[in-house]
Amino acid sequence: MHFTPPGERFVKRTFSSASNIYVANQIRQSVQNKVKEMANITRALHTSFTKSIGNSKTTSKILSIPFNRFASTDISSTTELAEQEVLNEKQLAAAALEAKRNKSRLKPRHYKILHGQMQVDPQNPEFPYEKTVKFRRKLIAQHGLATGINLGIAWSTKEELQEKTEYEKVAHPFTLQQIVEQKKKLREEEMKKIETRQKDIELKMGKLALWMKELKDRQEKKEAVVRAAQEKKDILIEEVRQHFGYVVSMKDPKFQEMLEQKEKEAKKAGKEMKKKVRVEKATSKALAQAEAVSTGKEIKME
Amino acid sequence: MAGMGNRVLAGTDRALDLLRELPRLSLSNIRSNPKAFKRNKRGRGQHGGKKHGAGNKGSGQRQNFMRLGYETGNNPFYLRVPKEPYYKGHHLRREYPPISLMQLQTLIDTGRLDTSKPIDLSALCNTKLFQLSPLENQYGFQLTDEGLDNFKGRVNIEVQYASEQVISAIERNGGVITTAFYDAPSLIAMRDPMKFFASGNPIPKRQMPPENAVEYYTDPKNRGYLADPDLIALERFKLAQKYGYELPDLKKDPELLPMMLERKDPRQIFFGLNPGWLVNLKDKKIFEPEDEQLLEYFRS
Repeated sequence: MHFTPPGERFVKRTFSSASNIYVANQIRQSVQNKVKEMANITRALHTSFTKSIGNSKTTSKILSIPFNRFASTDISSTTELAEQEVLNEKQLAAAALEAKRNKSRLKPRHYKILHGQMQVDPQNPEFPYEKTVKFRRKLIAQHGLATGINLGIAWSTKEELQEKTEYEKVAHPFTLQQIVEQKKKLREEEMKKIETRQKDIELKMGKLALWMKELKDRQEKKEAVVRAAQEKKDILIEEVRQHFGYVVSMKDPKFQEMLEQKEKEAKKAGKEMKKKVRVEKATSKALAQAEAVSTGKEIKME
Repeated sequence: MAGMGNRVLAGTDRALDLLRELPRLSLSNIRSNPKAFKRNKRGRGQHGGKKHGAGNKGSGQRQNFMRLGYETGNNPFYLRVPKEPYYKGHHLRREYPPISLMQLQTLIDTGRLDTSKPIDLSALCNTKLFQLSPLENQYGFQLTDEGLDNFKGRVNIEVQYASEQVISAIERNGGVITTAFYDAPSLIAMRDPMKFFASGNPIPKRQMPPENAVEYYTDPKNRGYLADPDLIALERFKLAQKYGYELPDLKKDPELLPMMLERKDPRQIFFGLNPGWLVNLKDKKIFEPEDEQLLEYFRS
């Protein structure tokens, strides 16, 4: 890569490289003359500038002016513009110096983040995420009012606020006092339920002894009936066994015959008993009458 | 765009930003309303025709389908496995990671906790010894009774749950304990205040506890933050009698008294900061909204 002087670089943008070397050289010459002119003017201004400031910290050394190929070459000779140019050039010089010092090879954005400077320009967002509300809020938090962003973005918009209030209404339909009352009622009802059940149980526990007794009586009755029947049966079987000499089955016809006989005898015996009883009654009655008569007579006699 | 003095509303700024950046309206970025037209579902002729996607013979073509889940007679999967509701509602249960009184005493002794200031969830999280993840249903810390006998610290502490013995241990030493509820966004703000302030959001409004927690936090026995302070005083006395210690008089130390009695408003998250305030650490300033609706919302 051969070295191309600054003028030629500028020229090559507008002219084709091969043919117009003579023209290029001419233009280069004129440009260089212009640069010299600028240098003279700025030198003069610099001295006058330092004089007007007085005790400024600016050095009396004249700064080298780097050729800015994007600057317009026709100079209007007003002093204000020239002063501005002086300042711009100072800043440029300082920036150039800093650029030479910065050996970190970090991207400018990252360098700024590292040094706690604002890595973005809020007025000219580079990436889409820089326009989001979330990012801008964080930027305000990091760099404060220096960002120049409207602080109002931190709070919700009217629509968002409406949504929030609606959500809260649905999530918490009752107020605290209402909930407290509801819970109180619930607990009271629970306690009531338990109380009534307890009372009921107490009453029934009081009657428990009585019920137990009744149950026992009923059971005993049933048992007694069963026992009596069983005993009767046993007696019959014993009698029949006595008669026959061995245990006869209930279903055997012999047993049935025996039973019938027994019944007849029992009837007979019963009849005789009745007769006896009747006779006895009659005799006793007669005796009693006789006595009564005799006594009666005796009374009459007296 | 200026700073605080600008009366332009933030909503308009956002709208204008949008307008500047959204693309031009064209056919490629608009669409009809949801039910403006019906899509033609049925295949009517040409390649939607002949069998009309129903195949050959069988229940498919004859449109006589079996019910969903039916497995042609054998016991289907959805009926095979019986219900075993061991974890029913587990995702709704709130968790309270424990901090023992022994740990608390150690923190005080080693100087990790400052007893001259009230101890709340923020202070405990700032020690960086305890982690809290609200997204995993963790709603704060509970104070456990391990090291109860040797606890000697005098603190104004705020936790999310504490049993009766723990309360007595704290109060016996002349301290004050409160149980308070914080909802998930508040917890996220509290557990890392620096990160929260760096996000640039205004301080949120703390929500009321859910219904099944209201009873706990309104009960003076639990020293709930929603309970009547007079009833709490009564319960302090009762507890002292129950556990057999003399209730220390807080007024004996008038220097520490205001600190001991310092409690948060039910809607407050940070001591000394109200909901709705925007804290800027760079400029060391606090900003308040001027809009009436916003003010009403944050004060309610």
